Amino acid sequence: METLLIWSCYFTLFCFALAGVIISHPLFVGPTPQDRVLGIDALYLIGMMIALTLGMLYRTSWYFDIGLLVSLFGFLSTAAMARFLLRGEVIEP
Amino acid sequence: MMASLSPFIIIPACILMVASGLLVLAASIGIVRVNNFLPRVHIQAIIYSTALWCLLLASLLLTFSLKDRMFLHEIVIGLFIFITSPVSTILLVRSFVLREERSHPPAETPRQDISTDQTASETENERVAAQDVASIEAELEMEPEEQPRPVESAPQPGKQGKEQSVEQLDDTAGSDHADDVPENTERVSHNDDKLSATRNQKDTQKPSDQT
Repeated sequence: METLLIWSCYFTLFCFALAGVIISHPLFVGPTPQDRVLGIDALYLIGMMIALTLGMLYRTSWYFDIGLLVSLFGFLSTAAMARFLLRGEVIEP
Repeated sequence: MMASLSPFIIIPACILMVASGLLVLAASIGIVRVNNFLPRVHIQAIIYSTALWCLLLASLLLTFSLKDRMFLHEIVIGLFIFITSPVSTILLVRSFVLREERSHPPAETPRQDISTDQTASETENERVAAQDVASIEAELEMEPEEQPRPVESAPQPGKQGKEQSVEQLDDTAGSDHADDVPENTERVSHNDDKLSATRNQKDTQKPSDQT
């Protein structure tokens, strides 16, 4: 019965990898800078979900810490880039 | 390791995981297919809400049934994404809206609409123009907060003052079109139809300011 779980984990990982390849298209050819920032944000999110799926597959709690760190850095980078696009500078003097 | 699990735990976990993977795949295809930015944000919210929570629920099911480690990580990740995803989305959408306002200034579009209305109803505009020239001094006295700056060497001070007040109402940005204001007032003061057009625009703008 656990083979079903393992193969569903593999299928989910395959779907996430394919989505990561597809979602890097607006990251490279996005017409506006906001599209590129959105692509980076979605790529961070997919990386975090890949870490969660690996943690479910190998039953190790390290992957969840990695996922938490990836989501934290994704939020920080997205907020910094959006603020740069909004105000022209990240940290105002 | 996973031999102690019952199928009533494994099958919903597998269904939730596969649903999460298919939702992420469909959302990524939708992000590529859509041309505008705002539907892309709308599609990315699917990944943020549904797909992530499906995966976290599957992980919570397995962790509760196996009891091999603490289940606090999924809840912490879920709470973190639940807090931070609207912040980043709102910042991105605000920057996009600001970019759209800079590329297409909002003072241009109502004027073109008013010109089409003018060609549609010509006599109405002429009547409004006659009433406007007659009652423009009373209008200036009724609205003291829209008193324009004194215009030097003006042949018709009432008209140009009115036009400057209208231009001040038009320009929300203000500093971007500050150099266009004298050109506009000179052009409109020579033309009564333009004056009536901007007069109509001022009438349409007045209830929106009050509400």
